[in-house]
Amino acid sequence: MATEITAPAYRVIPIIPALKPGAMEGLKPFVANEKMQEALGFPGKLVDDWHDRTIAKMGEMLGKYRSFKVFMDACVHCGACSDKCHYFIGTGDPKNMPVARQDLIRSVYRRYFTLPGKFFPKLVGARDLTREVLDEWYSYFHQCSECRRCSVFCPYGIDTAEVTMAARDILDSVGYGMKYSNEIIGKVHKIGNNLGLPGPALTDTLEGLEEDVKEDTGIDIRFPLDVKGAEVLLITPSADFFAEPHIDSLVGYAKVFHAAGISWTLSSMASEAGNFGIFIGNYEQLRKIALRIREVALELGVKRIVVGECGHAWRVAYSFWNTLTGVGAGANDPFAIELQSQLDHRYKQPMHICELTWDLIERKVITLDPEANDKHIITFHDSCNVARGSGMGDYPGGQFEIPRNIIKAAANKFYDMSDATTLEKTFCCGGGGGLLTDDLMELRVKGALPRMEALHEVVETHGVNFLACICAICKTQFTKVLPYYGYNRNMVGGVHQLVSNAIRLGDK
Amino acid sequence: MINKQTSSVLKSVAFDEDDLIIDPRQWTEDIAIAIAEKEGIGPLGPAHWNAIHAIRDYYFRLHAPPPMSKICRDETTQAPCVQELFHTCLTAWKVSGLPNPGEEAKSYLSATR
Repeated sequence: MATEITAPAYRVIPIIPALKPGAMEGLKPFVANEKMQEALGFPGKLVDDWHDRTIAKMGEMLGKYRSFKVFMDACVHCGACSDKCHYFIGTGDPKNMPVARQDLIRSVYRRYFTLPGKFFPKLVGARDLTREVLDEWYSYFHQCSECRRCSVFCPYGIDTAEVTMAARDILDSVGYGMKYSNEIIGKVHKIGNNLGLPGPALTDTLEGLEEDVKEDTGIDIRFPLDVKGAEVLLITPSADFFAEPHIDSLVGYAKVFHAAGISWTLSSMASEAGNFGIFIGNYEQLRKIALRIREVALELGVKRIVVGECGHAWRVAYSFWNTLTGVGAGANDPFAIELQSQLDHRYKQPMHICELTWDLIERKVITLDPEANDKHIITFHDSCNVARGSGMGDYPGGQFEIPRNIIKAAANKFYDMSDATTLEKTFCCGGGGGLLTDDLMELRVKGALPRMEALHEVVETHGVNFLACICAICKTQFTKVLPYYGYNRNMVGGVHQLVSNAIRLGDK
Repeated sequence: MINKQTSSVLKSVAFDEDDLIIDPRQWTEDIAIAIAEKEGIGPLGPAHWNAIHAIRDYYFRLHAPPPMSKICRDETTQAPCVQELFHTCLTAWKVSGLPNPGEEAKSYLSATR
């Protein structure tokens, strides 16, 4: 009797890209001008004694941040990280291997801060700090989105993002800052948000949204601004007031608050969840931006602080707001103590909008009709800073489950992308970490490759037509790069956009 | 290639490093036509002009770029989507003769349809 023989299924063979040395050499974002630099307290342009000041700043940071010193010393060049970076995968430039990118600064560390490097530099891969080296730092440390995927695979737990942040902080301190991030930080200090939308423009937009939603639903849904005594202060990326599809998630948040009967407000002064202080690795800027939120929270007397769909903002809020501002325990200055006593600690402080919405769904305070999203076949992109830099709920992995739970409650058709590209192994969208500038479009398109491959797979197998995100940068990056990969930019949307479509609204 | 007349119109006003006008009050319709030609847009029809005037009105009222969907939906302008007309909202902003909206706004406005 003939036995039917079947060949085993093909294995998925990881493809390590062929090296293209120098492929991205010299690619760099525009340098910040004097005005932008000085507004943040940095030297206006590259200082004459940049060499000595760079080494001095490195020394200062090595003394201040034990992590930085450990990361400089601990790497054994095992190579586990080398093919894990989306920018390396997309560009093939060997200096975009995380280990090699870090070695651009590690080699200088060895030369000036280790004994063998001081005496036998060639033997230990140590090199002098030259102008070429500094330019190389500027170029390649702006080809890292600080997404920390490589760190997941590092047996020593080296946080590559921190190395990039340190390098950028050093560059700023010698007057070699990046235009995109530094101009935006200046805008937050001056106007209150990254997009430079003044209070009256926000009022106009919010009133327009109230009219639109009334027209769509027949229900008066408020988009309150600067309301004293509101229970919740919502801090959301300014893109939610401005861009598409971002604005549709803002409508979703408003509908959730309305349906649950929670009083809430936005703020014109703290109209930005994003905090580019983290991207440039500068503690003072990180804190100064975060303090705007505390000032507003105290002034408005709110009981809860909730954060909208923004990846790095949630990392800053979840991991740093406590000690930076007193939202959560940790800081002990008088204003932080005042804020801590003002906030209602029956709720998580701060809380992600997804945590708030999911809790309301679970407790049946709000009801969703998933059929409303039947035209959408959905997949979910885990944002790097949410996935690897924060949490949600009160259990490990909540940041993966909660957004998916909401999507599944709001829609019937959901398919995850390959598990090599989701959860803690998620790939960056290609535009995070302060790289969402058109100066770096080539890098952004190439760096999106692994995410686009995983998306392509679920499009082919399940007909996916909606890429759900919980990050303003991811949404913008995808709307820009999807057309390069043959997809329509309209397939990008927010999780709360799906909620907005499905939520049952009654007048409460 | 832009013609001689266009290039002389463009020389009459100052632009910044990102090709955005520095003083929006110097803008004229002739300048809009010249910028549009340089950006490969045009010829400018009634729909373009409606959008340009709506964007300029919004800017002078609120000193910010409008949410672009709002211009599209605004019934008074009767304009179809700005991106269809100008390829990107940033090009519409340039042709409307408005000053640099900043790095983040540029990054958002330059999305194609």
